[in-house]
Amino acid sequence: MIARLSLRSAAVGAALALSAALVAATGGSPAAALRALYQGSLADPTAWTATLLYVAPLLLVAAGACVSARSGMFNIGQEGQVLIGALAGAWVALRLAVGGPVLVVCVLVCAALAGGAWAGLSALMYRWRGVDVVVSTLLMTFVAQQVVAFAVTTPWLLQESRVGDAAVSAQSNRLPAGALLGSFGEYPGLAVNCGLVLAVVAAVLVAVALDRTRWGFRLTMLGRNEIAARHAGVRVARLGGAALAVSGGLAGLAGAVLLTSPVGANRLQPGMSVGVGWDGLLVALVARNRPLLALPVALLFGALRAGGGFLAATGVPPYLVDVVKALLVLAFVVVGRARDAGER
Amino acid sequence: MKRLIAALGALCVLTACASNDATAPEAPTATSAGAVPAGEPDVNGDGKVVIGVLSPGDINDKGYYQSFVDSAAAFATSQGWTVIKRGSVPTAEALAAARALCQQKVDLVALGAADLKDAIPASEEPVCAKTAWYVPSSGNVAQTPRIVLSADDPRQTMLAAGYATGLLLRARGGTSAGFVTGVEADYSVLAAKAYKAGIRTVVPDATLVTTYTGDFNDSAKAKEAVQAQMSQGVKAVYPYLGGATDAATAQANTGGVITLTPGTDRCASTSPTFDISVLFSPGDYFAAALQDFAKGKLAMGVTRVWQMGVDPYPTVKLCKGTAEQSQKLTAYMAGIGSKKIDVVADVDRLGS
Repeated sequence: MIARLSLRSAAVGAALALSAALVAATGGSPAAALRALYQGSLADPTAWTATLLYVAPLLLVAAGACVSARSGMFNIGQEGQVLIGALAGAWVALRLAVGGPVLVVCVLVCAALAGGAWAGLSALMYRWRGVDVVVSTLLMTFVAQQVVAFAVTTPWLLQESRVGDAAVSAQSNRLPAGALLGSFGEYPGLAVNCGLVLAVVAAVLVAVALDRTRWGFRLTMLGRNEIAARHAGVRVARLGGAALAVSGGLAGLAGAVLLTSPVGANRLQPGMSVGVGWDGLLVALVARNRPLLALPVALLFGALRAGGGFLAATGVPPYLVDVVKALLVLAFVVVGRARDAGER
Repeated sequence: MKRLIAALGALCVLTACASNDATAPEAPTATSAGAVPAGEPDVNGDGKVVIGVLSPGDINDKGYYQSFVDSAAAFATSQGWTVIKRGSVPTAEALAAARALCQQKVDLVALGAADLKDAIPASEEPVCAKTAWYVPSSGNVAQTPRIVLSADDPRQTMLAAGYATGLLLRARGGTSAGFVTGVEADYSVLAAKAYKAGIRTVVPDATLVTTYTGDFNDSAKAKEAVQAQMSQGVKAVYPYLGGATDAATAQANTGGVITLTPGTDRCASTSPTFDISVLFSPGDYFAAALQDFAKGKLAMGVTRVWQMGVDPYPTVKLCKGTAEQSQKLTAYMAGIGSKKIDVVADVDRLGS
């Protein structure tokens, strides 16, 4: 146990040292950069609010990634599923003439269904034509980006309405107030958006389902040995497809949270997933596909995202945050591999 | 399963009947008398002045986006102020980026382009209560009491740019020009249309080849597009780009075609070289606003409209034109300023 902790600490320490060196190489001060990251993410209630807003979608994506990874169906197309979820959510929010909580629920449910259906297409391709799930989910991301870009540049679909003769942008109209998720607490004090509550509940449910139910047991069996699972009576195609759809559904839900929470502009935009799909996947990777462990990891990634906005003041390019994230992920993966090798 | 499909079908029917316009934004209001924030330029009263600049593009593009940041930096340095600058801000992150600036106690949040208009709601939030806001506008930006808008009509600039190109094209006996830009968005389509109309004002049978590379900063795609246009025989290329401007212009220089700048004065540039400087740099507009800000005269809730032929900017300049060509161009821009030339009608008539 102590050796494991030491190894992990050493790897993280090495990643942080390398990050500091990179900051220095770009002409910044590592101490100032660290201070800026802290001030932007954890220093006060306003910063915490910003961090928690990012945690919610990251955690939802990570929880979904845990499900598909457990079944051996590696879904890496969450970025596209987030976008498709947001697209479906925006469509419902802007077109459905109902008000209040019913509208929010419709937006969330439709986004989850759309994300699940999008991921389900990869499951179908795998079962019917043997298309590798990793490849198809990844490629479907690019299709999703184009679908969203088309939707927000086509006036009869979701492009924002023209006012007078002013130019219109490639984005939808702003969602009506009734379609937005509420928050506990008041910004700039600590405000916890309902999206976070939803994400935590989803992560707990996924953890329970994976570790305490027959469905989770079968999923684990499928992930470890498909042939053995089939011999044990597991309906491999249905279970694997369902796992992929659940994973996509949670990513779609993350898209709806991005759309309806104060983290963004509350409108559909081509780049609105802002890498949440990729980062959520990394959160699951660092958490070794354990949904409850994904909670603190999502908090760390959310803090890095929120703090990244403060880096500009130090002269350090904000994209350095992505490098830091990548180094941290590598550190955890390397430690995980080393440990697995040692156990063997 | 059947019930789920039925429910989804019903939802589709319900949503298909609704119109997008039900959630349309409100029309921008007319210019109104505004209020100067107390204590300007030290709006938050912390004893120092900090300008926060957000740009949607590459702030090292040697053009449109960089000019904005450079203006802020140059003026701030002369006043002993601090500038926090952040480039390549995605539109989806505009709001979060603006909040981050307010949290860092900036006195003025300046948006580099209207693309970041989604940041504006932050101006109403308590975290930005003691902050002035500067927003360039050529799109759906609604005037609010908490922001100052700086607006121009891109059709005026592009029409005059086209006119200048037409003058040089005619002198060289050319009838075909190229327009290379990034995303096929409403404003870039409109810019191409106005540019074409300007060329046709001088060369009635002129054609314009337009290429949308999909990315204002992708040099490889821009160079490829310029080369393809030169292969089609264009005699002028307008690289209406961001970070890819220099690469595209350098490529155009190899073919000896007429080139234009997307926003700044680069007549003195030797590598690459430009024949026409089209000046609609947001940095020039921002510099004027910063001067007012320093004097404590930058009022929020108002729109400053920049008119071609009336104000120093926007304008178009021939780098190596003859005296006659320059005279004609000046007269044309004066016509736009005096409304003798109906810009909207000309663009619609000649740009289609």
